[in-house]
Amino acid sequence: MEFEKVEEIKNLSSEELLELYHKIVEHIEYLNSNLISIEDGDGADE
Amino acid sequence: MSDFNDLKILKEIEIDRNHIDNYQLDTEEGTKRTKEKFHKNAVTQRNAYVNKQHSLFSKYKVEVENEIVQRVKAMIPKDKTAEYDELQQKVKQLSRLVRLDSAATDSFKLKLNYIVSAINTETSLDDLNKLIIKFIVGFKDLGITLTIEDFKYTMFTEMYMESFFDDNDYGVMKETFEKIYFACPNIRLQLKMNLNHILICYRKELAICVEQLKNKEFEAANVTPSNVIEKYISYRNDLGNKRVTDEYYNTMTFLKENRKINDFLVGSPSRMKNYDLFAINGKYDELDDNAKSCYNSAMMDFCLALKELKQYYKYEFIIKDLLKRYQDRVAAKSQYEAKKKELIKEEKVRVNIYHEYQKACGIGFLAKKNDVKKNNAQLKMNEHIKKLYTLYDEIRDLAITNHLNQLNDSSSIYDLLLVSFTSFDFLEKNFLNNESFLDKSLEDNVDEYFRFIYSPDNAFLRKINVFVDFDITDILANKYKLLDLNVNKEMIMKDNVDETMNSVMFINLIQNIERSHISIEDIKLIYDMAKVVSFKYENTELI
Repeated sequence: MEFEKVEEIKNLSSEELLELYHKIVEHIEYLNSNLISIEDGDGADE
Repeated sequence: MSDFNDLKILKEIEIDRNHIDNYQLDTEEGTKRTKEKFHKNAVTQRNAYVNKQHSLFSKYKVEVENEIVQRVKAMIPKDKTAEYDELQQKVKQLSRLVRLDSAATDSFKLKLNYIVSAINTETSLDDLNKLIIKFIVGFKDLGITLTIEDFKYTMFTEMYMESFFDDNDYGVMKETFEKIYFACPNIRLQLKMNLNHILICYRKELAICVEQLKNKEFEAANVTPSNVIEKYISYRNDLGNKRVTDEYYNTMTFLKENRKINDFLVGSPSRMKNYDLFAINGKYDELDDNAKSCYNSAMMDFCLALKELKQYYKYEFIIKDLLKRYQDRVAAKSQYEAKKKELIKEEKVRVNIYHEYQKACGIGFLAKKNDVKKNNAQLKMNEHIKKLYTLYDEIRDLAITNHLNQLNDSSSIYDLLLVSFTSFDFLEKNFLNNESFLDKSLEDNVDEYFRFIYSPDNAFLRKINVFVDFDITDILANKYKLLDLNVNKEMIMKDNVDETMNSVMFINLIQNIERSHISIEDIKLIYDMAKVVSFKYENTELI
């Protein structure tokens, strides 16, 4: 991971760090839901 | 420091969302086949992008998790258990000294009574022998060597103990026991009485031992009999305060889910409900700052009073028994003296029966063996022992009542309870005959009872005159009403005290946290962070 991002993480307050964590988790879920199955042509690929 | 929303990772999230949400997956141009091909290619490309970002954000997640773990480790307060253990040792040492200096008998102080108490009609042969060994070793530790001469209470105890001293082998002892058992079915009782008799015979030596022990231990602890109780209470108070306000213990209470952190946050319905329960106007939040401060101070005091009250209820049966006996104390004095004379007389009869037996065995000057007389002496002894057993039972019962003559009209509940320590037998009977105390050993029950009497938080116990008609619930409810708390008699009655205590303890935990160097909000933050990373609390057992 880039040094700058690591530094940013380390400089966050604990409340912000926790918020960032939840945003990342939420984004990972978003990414998962945006994988499309090629056979179906649309919809999430579970 | 840059704004939270300007974080590179958050910007990347924004870019990702725009890119993915606006990705062109379909075309209007071309044939059906061309459109399908376009879609397939677009999906493949977008999926590749999503997978790449997924992998990247998974790495971010790990990085953030690692940082959270570091933060949790840094924020969890230091575990001071080792420091408290040292204080606990000091409290234990002082507790021992308070006992050594108490009104208890010397054999009680030296815990020899517990050994004798453990012998009953159900005691197995193996346990019986172990207890006798414990008793002999207990004496040896005090510098007193018991021999067969000490076990000639009856011809049966002598026979048993001869075998015991000769060859303490289970097989041999079993044979001896069976041999004696038919002539003396209550051999256990006779041995028990023999041990009690030894305690009486050696009372002077035991008193010297206790005195020596006291001098040595008081000097080592740098206390005197005049300040030992004060020091014990002060150390216990200090340790208790440190533990209840300990940041680590209080944090772990929530991390281990013993309590729900959300219930304790300002504004939570549970918190409001508990605070409102004792607020004189029914709404804690509507009290002004001064009233809130008075409320909090009164609640801390009320918490201690409730703890004391709960314990009082637990031992109320002892107080009632002592108060009943108090009515008979004057008569008990002369009865006790008369019983003592009777006992001395009957003990002489026992010695005479024993001598008759010896003579019939051919032991002594001009003695001749005579089996008939020998058997008669044995039968007489068995009968006489039953009589003696009853007499000892009666005299012990009179002794505790007689000891109540030490009290006067202005004595407190505390003074009354202290008298109970003058009789091991009284405490033994009370605890062993009460079902609520059978899940613990007698020694553990007596230890807890001792801690209750000498508790630093005892207030009404030391102040209320035990001989004036009093209703403790009335006294306490009125006291806290005067301090502007919504407390009534029903709330603190025996059947309701636990429920009220739950609410009081809830508030007390908040108050203890507020008195410490950590806030509920800090604990909440630690809790939330620990939760997301499934933080493992090794070596964090609460005491």
